[in-house]
Amino acid sequence: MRIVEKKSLLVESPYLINGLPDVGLVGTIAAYHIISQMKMEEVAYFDSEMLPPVIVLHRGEPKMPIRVYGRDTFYVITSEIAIPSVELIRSLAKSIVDYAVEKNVKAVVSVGGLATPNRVEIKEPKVFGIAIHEEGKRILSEANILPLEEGYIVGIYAMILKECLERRIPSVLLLAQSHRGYPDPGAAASILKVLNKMLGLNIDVTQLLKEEEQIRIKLRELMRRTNTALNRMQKSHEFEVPPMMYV
Amino acid sequence: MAFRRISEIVEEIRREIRRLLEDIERDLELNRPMWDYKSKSLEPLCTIEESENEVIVTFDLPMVDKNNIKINATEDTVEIEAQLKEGFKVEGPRYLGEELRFTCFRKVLRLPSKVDPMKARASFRGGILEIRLPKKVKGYRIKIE
Repeated sequence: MRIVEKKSLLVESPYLINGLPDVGLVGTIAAYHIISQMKMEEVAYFDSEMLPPVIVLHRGEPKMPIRVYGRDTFYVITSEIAIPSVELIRSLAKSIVDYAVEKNVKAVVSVGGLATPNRVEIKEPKVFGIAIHEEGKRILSEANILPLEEGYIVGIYAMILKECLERRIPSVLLLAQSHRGYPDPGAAASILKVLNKMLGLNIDVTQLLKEEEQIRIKLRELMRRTNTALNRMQKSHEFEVPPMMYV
Repeated sequence: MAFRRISEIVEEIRREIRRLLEDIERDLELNRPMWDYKSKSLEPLCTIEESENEVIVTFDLPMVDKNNIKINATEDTVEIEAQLKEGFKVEGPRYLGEELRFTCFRKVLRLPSKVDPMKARASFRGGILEIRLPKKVKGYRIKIE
């Protein structure tokens, strides 16, 4: 996986936010919303021979599907395609953390969904968190985030956590209660409210909630491809209880 | 011993064929567009689950009013058509015309087990339609002697 940098933010220790396609496309929706509200600029993209041969057109301008945006003290990584294979997931996670090291980030903050069977009955989805290293734990506890204590994490965020753990990089994973196979802007709004509190962002979710239904229609294709990719990597593990009782 | 090995090989081949067929089916599904230009309809996302006695189908139907959903079921299929509250305009493929506006969701789903459509129940909450269809042949409880 190759990182092609267009420009760099002139800040000491920024935060790196990952909003990648996963359960309910929660991370993707949250990332799009941050990028648009903060009027972020594209600063880099990821490329690999393993990626599907795709470019995306926006206002006539060709773009690579996995991109990095930046403004002030924040970088946001997002993707407009599902990450289709385990090899690609491992390679992308490694490159994302390489980028975090290069930028000397304060913490890597990943955001996503936690498939919840009774989601339709939940008005305001709760957000749970996982933290790595003291700084990650401090960020999580200061924002009063409920820790996720037992279970499996499968997919790109599992691999980002693994890379951060091995390289001792402060990292936080935030997961909002979400629909399993349907785009969930409501869950993304819950994530954004937590990010506002946690990182001092000022993202208004009114527009996101107002456009919720249109977003659900627009993201059907990406959701279908993401669901297929998640099934292939045994995402259903996340519904299981780990067998080790004492570790 | 030799017989066992052959049966294991056959089972392995059977598994591999099943996996390949599933992959082909999935790829065919992914390569099909989720909209139909001629009928101005969108394909909704859906899920199918099976319990002991029921097949549970859900459809994601944003921008739809409960009163504008038509459901038809047979022993093997469920068909839905739902009118959108307002036309959904798609930006992008200009080669298809000046404006691409969709007016409804439409989907026919083949069910994994035979069901009794007369006893099906449906609910619609938060833009998600759930249809519970009782299976025609239900599981029987077997007593241990």
